Amino acid sequence: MPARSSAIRDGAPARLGRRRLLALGAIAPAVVLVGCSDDPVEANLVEETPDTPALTMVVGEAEAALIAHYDAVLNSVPENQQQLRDALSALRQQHVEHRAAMAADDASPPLGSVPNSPNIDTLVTAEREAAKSRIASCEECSDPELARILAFIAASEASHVPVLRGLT
Amino acid sequence: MTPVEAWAAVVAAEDAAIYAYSIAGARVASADRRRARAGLDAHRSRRARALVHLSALGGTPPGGAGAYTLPDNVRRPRVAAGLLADVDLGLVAVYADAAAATEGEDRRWAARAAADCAVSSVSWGAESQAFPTVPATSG
Repeated sequence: MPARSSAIRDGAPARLGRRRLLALGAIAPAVVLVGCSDDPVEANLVEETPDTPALTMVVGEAEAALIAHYDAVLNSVPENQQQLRDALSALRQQHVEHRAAMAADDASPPLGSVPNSPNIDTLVTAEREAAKSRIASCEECSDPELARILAFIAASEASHVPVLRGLT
Repeated sequence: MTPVEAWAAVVAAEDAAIYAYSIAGARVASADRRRARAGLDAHRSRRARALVHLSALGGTPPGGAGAYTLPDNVRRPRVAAGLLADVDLGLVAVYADAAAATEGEDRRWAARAAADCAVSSVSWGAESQAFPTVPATSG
């Protein structure tokens, strides 16, 4: 799990710090069956670029909106459906990690609003849109390391769709 | 990582995935075989495209290993599916690296490939993750 950069959390100019890169590098796996991957951390130290703070803020707010969406759905799931609650909570937690990777301010408002009748179908739509949006942000950003993180987040959110479908 | 290195890593990882799908794809439960064949096609298609990128940059295709080490009990459907889940999960990081090393449409394609591989891994039984990677206990 990527660590938050305290420099960003404390309001200093947003920067993808080495600590965060190291944290991400720690989760990068050896390629299954191949095992020839170069060290991704040493290869990808990058300079801050002008669009980084704006992009991480937008993605952080979008992740906050997804968290609020999950909370709304969880509120409608009866306490006795613990398995469903656990599954939704696990997916929600991944968005918490995504937001942390963006070093978003906890107080930042969610981007957009939760649908009127939040349910698993609306979550499926939201996750699919989120994955598309992360891919677009990945393409737009000028910071290669942020692009790498956004590709991971897009992959995570795309993978939530079949998980959610399995819950219905 | 340079774009050449990134595309070479993609070709190598897709080579391994094609090998895994060729063997394990025939061993998954019969109801999953069609999906395994579609996965094999997808890996071949992505490998071909990555090879085009690599060649365009003057890179040399990595020499595909003649054989890869597969789990001993890959004949068991559950083990076979687990192998495919791990192969696809491993590719997420390879494509994320390619996204970092490239720009524009190439980066978009790499990010999409990362997402497709993550979805496929879940379809083979992998847990979804905030940053999809092969669990340390796998492989």
